[in-house]
Amino acid sequence: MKKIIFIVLGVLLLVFACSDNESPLTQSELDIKKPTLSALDTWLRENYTNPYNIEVSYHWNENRVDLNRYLHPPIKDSVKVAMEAIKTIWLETYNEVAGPNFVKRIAPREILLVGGVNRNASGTVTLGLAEGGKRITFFNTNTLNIKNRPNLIRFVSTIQHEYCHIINQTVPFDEEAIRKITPSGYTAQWYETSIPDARELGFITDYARANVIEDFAEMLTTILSYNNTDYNAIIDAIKSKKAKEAIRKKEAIVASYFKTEFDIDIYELQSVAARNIERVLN
Amino acid sequence: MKNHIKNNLLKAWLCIILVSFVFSCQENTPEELFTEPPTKRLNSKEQEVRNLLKASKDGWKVTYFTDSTKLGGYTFLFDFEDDKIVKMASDFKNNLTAKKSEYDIVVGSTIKLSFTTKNVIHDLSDSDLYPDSDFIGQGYKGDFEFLYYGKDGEDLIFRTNRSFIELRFKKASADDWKNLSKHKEIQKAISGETLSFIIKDKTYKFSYNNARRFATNIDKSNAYNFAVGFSATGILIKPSIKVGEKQYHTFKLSNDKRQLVSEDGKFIIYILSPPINMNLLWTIEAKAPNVSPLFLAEFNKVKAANTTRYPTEKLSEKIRIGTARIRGVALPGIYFRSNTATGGYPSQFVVSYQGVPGKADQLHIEKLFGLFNWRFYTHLLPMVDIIAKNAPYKTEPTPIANPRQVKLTSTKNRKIWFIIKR
Repeated sequence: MKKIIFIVLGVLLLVFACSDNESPLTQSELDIKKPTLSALDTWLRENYTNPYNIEVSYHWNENRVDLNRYLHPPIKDSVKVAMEAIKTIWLETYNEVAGPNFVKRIAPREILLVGGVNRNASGTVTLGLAEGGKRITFFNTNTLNIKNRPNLIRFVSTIQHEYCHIINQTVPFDEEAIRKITPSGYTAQWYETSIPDARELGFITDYARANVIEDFAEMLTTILSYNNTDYNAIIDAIKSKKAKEAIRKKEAIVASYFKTEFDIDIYELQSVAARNIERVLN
Repeated sequence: MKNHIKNNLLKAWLCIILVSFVFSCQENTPEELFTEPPTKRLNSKEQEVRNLLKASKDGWKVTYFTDSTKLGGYTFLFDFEDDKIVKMASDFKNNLTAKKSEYDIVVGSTIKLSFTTKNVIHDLSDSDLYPDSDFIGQGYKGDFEFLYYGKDGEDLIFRTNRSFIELRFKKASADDWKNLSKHKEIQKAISGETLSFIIKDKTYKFSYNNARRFATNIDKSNAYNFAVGFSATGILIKPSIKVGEKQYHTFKLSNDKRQLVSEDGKFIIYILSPPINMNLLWTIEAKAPNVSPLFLAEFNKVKAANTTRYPTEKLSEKIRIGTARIRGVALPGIYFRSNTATGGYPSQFVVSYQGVPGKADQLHIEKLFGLFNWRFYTHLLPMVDIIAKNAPYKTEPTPIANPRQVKLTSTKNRKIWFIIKR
């Protein structure tokens, strides 16, 4: 009898020990509302994010920039102008020559637009950055003038240059082959030489002197910034025969890399890019 | 019997111990300071900041001193139209007309107000827009993301994200928007001028750098250096000037534009603008009757010294004073010319022309340094000394408005006087 009483008491204790004082689970406290998209956001989604899986950011986000630099976001009206120019000159050029899947396969996952100039303490200006092949940052979006050829080419050269790094990160090029053409010309103080002087040393631009990787990217950028006639005129204007030969050798390595690795004819790419630059200018 | 008592005593003790155990328990659960989870609290704070920013009818006014050890204060007006759009104007650069852009209240470790697309405040954070070469790559060291620190009366307190500088958002009025252009008029009144104040009978002088909006002590001691911001009626300075127990930071420009007067009227910053326009170039003809005999005697001494040093040259009697442009740089100075048979050589000693506190008709001349060609003509220094050491001068312009000539008579030695003409 005593045992039964203990068992009953035990069961009752267990039952009444549970209390129902916890509120039921409701919706998250975090803000999970869908952001409202402006006409610009919708355009960016339709032209970059949906077809190419590239996110275009223009609102300021301190985590995406170097806080030691004094930078600022773009003027909203300049964003579409910049992204239309990049689409025509970069995306459409590669699509036409390399096929629509090329950029989808090898592309930065994010393009970040920064409004102001990124001036370094040395006085030089950083035009763009490619970080880990994932994000390309464009500076100076606010002063882009797509009707001014040097200004447009300078702006778009950022994507051609940085995209070249991303391609190189996917399939490496023969660095030694480039290095031995002008082995003593590379320097960290590349900005102390003018572009014409750098060309007389066998480098297509001053920045090409920074290292072999930049040399390769600057070669491709310059090829894609002019039509073939104007490009050849630049090389022909170089006085030093040795320098001229050095640049032509580097050009051959770039052309061969694209042909062998991706079956892309660099001169066809040049011709389509030049045509698309004219489309934007006019 | 004895055992029975013993048992009862034991039971009683057990009862006491049990009871004391039960009643010795106390409620030690800490009191809950917050009744809601952190996310919920941050969200409601975010909403609170949004509502506060939108609540002021004519928006908010803030004077932002980006680095009060080197740069000045820049006034901004913000009108938060809805949860996304802000309209703003500023007395920095040509930003008097309000422009619209986007903003956001970001919840992170705290609540942050971020101006997410370009507007006028971003001009302070432009690596390519700097006051001088010391700030290449830094612009005006500004920030445009502000952490919310709460309310103080009607003011909202923020701190800048980058360097934790406190910003006080004050409620703006319609007049603040209308009068923003008046800040520029105040700025013009002190631009390029020497500022001065007196503490305990000691005079402190400051050269005001308009590009930086910063006043630096001329004696290079950096004592009392101050950053300058503008209002529609005067200036705001940082740090405040401490005189006795009082701190002075807000000043009103006097009607004659020669003084900046503290709110209690007891402390004055003098704008030492010269009584005559020394941005022009004036000529002293060093011969009677344009100069006093003593001045002429001193001139003849340096003229002789010049002939001794350069026998083929002759020091011109025309000494120029005021501001001349040499090799593209306009600096106030005293200019000499040593003529040769075929031409001549100019030389320049840089000086500062200033007003005198409380003496509207007096001109002070302060020696600075020799510049163009001066190393070849250091023997002319006694003449510069005569002019500078006998300052300040009482000025007698003819005509009074827009004078063509002015007689300068030393207040230290009445035998030194000279007439300048243009």
